[in-house]
Amino acid sequence: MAADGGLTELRRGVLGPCVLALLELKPRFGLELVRDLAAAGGLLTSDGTVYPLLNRLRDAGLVTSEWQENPGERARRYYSITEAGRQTLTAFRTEWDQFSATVAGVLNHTRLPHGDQEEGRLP
Amino acid sequence: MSRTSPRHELVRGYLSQLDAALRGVPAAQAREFREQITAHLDDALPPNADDEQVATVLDRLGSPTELAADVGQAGAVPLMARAMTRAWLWYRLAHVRRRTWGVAGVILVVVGVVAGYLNYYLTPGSLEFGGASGWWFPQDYNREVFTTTDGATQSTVPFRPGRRQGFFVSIDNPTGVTQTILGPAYGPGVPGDSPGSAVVQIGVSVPNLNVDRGGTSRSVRFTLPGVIPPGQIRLVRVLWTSNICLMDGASSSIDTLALRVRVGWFTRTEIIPLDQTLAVKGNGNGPCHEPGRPQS
Repeated sequence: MAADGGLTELRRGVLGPCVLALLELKPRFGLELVRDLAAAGGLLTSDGTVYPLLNRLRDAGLVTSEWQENPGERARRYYSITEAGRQTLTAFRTEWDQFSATVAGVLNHTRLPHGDQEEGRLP
Repeated sequence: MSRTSPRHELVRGYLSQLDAALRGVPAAQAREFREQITAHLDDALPPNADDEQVATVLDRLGSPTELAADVGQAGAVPLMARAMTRAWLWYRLAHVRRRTWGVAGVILVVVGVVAGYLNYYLTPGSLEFGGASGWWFPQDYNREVFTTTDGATQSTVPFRPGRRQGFFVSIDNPTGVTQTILGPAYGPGVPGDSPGSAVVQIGVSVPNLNVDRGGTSRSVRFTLPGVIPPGQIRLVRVLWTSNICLMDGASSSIDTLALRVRVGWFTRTEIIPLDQTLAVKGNGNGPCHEPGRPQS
């Protein structure tokens, strides 16, 4: 597996929960969401991928959107998290903590079957 | 709404490529995505953006072809997410405690036993008419008249409103489970078993079928609830006191016997066809009571 391809797929897998986490703080419009994700670093392969993802999250009932027009600005579509989205996010956080700990343990050789442990690299 | 950015040549070219790439995507999805990209560009580009700024934003936005492919998989779970879900599922299964597996096994066994019980006791057939029948009181069987229609013989007796009348029939349990008769059944979907029966009493014989009309029938004991073991026949006695009027010459067949029957843990209504072997006929001589008027 090429490292770049693997990371791209990994980013795609975790981008949804990250979008939900940002929307949990406040509703955001598209570019605002893209910029916040980009600011986090390493999450976006391209800015445009956020929009199909938002549409999928909306179709799944995890996100809603509505047009808002603020004084002096043009109308923008704002995305908000739903109650189902909050529950999904909570469940993902729990699973992610354990999953990432497991992956980290295997990657760092701190969690392997006994026969596979390398001498001198374990605590 | 600002429309500066779409006027830029690079933006127009990008949107044209995007439109071409979105041709295979359902129209509603394509329209929505194009609107999102246009809004993104409107927000991201200042009105007087130069070529370099536009090129940077478009480059960050991604290839129209790749984005269109992403839009086309609406509803699909990204590959890595599926892989993670599978990995996590196996991880969780591998870490389920032995005690949890034990509890799950017990629950599975209990559910299986209950399902088997339900299947065993809810699916057996109904009780059936055994073919033998007769009137219970001498006032009736001494005056019964036999008529034959289409090869079937029917016994008709005078209707005696306000008086006790009754009959017995043999009831067969052809099923493989014990069925217990609890009493008569009433309610929606239950036909009347005797004309105008206000009170119906049901009795089931103990294991003694030696009923001889007008003779030893009084020696048979009837009880309720009455148990009919699998494959056996019992007599069921039905007594009633009618409180309606059957006009002179009118007759009424006793077509069915509706019973409340317990099978295992469950009580159900069984409607047993009696082949129209019994009937009562109005003769105009008895006291026909008007509704609401007390019986003499």
